[in-house]
Amino acid sequence: MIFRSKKTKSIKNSSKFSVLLIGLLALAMFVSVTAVYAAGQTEEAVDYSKYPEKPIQIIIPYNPGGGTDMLTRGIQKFVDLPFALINIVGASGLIGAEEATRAKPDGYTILGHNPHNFIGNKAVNVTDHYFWRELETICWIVEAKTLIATSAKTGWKTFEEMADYARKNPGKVKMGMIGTGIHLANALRMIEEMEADIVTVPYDGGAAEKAALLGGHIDLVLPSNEADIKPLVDSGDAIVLAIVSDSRSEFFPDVPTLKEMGYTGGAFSARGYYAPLGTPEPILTLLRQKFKEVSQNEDFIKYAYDQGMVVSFTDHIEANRISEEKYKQWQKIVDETGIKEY
Amino acid sequence: MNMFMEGLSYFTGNPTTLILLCFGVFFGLIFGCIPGLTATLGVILMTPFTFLMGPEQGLSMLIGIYVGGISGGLITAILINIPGTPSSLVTCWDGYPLAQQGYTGTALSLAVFSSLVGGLFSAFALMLIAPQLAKVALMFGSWEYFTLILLGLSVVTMLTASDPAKGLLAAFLGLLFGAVGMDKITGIKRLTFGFWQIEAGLAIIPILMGFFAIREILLQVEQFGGRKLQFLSTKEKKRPILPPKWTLKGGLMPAIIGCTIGTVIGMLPGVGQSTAAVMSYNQTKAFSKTPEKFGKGSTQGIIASETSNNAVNGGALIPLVTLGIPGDMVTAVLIGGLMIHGLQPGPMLFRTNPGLIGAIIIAYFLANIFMYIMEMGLLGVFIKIAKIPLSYLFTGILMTCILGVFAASNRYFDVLILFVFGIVGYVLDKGGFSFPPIVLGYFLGPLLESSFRISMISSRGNFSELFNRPMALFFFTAAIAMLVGPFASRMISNTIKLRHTKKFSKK
Repeated sequence: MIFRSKKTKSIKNSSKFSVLLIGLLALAMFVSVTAVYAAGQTEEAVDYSKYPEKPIQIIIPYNPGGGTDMLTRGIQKFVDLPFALINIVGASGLIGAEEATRAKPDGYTILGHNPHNFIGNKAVNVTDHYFWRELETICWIVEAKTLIATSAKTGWKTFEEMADYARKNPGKVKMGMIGTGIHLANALRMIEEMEADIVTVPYDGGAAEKAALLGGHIDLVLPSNEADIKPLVDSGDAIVLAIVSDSRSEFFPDVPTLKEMGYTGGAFSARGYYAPLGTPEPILTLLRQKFKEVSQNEDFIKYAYDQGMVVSFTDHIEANRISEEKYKQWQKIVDETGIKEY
Repeated sequence: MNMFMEGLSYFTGNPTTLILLCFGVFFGLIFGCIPGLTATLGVILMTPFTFLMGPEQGLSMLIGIYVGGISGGLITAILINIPGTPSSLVTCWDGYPLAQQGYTGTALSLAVFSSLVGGLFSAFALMLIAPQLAKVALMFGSWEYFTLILLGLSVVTMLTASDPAKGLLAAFLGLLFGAVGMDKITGIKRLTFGFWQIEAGLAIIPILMGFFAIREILLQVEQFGGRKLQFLSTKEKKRPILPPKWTLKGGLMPAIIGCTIGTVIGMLPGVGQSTAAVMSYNQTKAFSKTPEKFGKGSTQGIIASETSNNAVNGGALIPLVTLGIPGDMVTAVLIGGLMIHGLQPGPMLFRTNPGLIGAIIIAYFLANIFMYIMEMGLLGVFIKIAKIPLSYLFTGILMTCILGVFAASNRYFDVLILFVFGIVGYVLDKGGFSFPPIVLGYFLGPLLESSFRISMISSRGNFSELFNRPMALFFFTAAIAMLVGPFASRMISNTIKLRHTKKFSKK
């Protein structure tokens, strides 16, 4: 290790070195520019048999680590298509969904979404978009249950215990939820039927909501799927009080539905995939085929179950029918609870 | 401990991760040693390219750049009296005089060794404190988040700005940039002016590249041709790998001061290396038996400066991994690196993905060791790199910026944002605004807003709920004191002066 002291020598070396460095930079730039150019070229090709020639970007409009995110990361493992996930988060998934409607319909951008969210958001008029009509449905992969859960620290074991406490202590119980859409309408309907006074607190992501539940800053959460809360129930940190959807959950068979207890309930949630309107039919057919194959893969079904999700494939025709039906039903609830001001 | 074993397995199981970490340190040292290029810029430039790596690989590389970038600044600080990164400014004060006395090699190895000590100290602090803090992090409710962010913003506003009013203005500008886009809860569009491209908010990468790369290029272009670097040569035949014993004499005290101040300053949201270095330099001088040597090549001064600015790195990672709040500007950019990989930093990440947190901590630990080996071994190379004319480098950086911005979003619009914010940054810089408040306002604004909103909604609009929360109340009071302090003291001193002059006029 001799410290170079001869000035002339080091100057000579430095010019050589800089030439080398510049050469390398130029080479790197040339390669990347040609790569971008080549990628641009394929979009004009009409031969779909080569699809996909580059990664297919899947927009996940929810926070990383959430249900849709985990599900898609699972599919990514079991499908022979090059998926790349991008989380565009916010406003109950509206921001990501809008991004998808504007994407080039070339099959290289698709959307993973919870259809109940955008149907609900249209029902409460948070958005002008009828996303289930403005996007091509690929399929639905998972049907989930909406639940009410509490932190183990509150000590409530059943829904009625919680309801009793809430009736006796107006304004004391706090319920977290994500966004303000149909979730809020359903919650308000339930609170109305409980004849209680519960504070509803909107969060912009599942992680913050769960951290608040564990920290005791809110008492109830209203996740729209089992996957969201199952790890916390397994670890003993949270307890499921009731199922807001109309049938019991495979994961918590002992927990009654709100309907059984005489409330309206009526929530519905699913996870599916969508493509921009105008995506070529051969690509849609291929994607539907691939997703169907994955949904029959035993390993994937097990993966999903471990994540707290029940795989059930719904094709695009059935999915669109359910979407229209739910939209009408929820519009009615929104009219009756009168949360339109939100 | 499990967490660290899992984190370590990322590196033992996959040599690519280790190579990327090495590359990151090397790349960081390059950015650190060239005056005009900063660690922040290095991390920003490489962030889009981590998109295709695994999260632990991408983060290892970014952390490598961070560590290398902060340490690399000492080379030019000692050899030409110009800090390679702003954080090494204080090293100039004693490093250059010592080098002038002919001890170039000694000064360099002492500074690099101090970097290692500071880095490793904060690595251990990170290992010990982060898991403990993560346990209590859940106690942090929305009120605590809101007030802590407010405190961080006011500290950075008041400490980094030359003029408190300009600091405030800069912070508000940052908050304004952060408010652009769809409201995260109700979906109402704000400040989008009809551009759908910014409905999801102003994207992180183009804004930061605009502020740090384009602005810097514009500023440096002004001085092209005028910059001649005079590198000091050395009388010493060999450069010692370990600093000689006489330099370490009396070095324990400055090392302890530097490490502690650095780590603590790092943990405070927002305040970074430069502040820590100045503070520990002054403290060391106050405690030193030979304060007269300071500024004339004191080894204690070098040790204080270099241990503290490197200790900030580990400290700054503590609130990042536990609360999701960045401890300094580079870690703010690291959040962007985490988000690209689909990870939301915060207390839940510690629960759901402890292996990754372990990997981040191990990466930081290893990066410091690689930094020492590389900086000592390849010093000659870095000195040559520091001599490369900026005109060549800037062409490459400009290209990388445009490619990186385009690659991150596939949108030409973001390239326009890059240039618009580059020019905005240049104008703000010329106007004497400091950038840490702008950048942290932009990063922390959305978090500040949502935590305030959640607080107010859950207490049904009752702000006095704050008084039931001692920790939040403490943060809030400190924040207000920080904000009002400079103005109040100025007012008081003005009135005193006024009285004084009145008395005089009466007499």
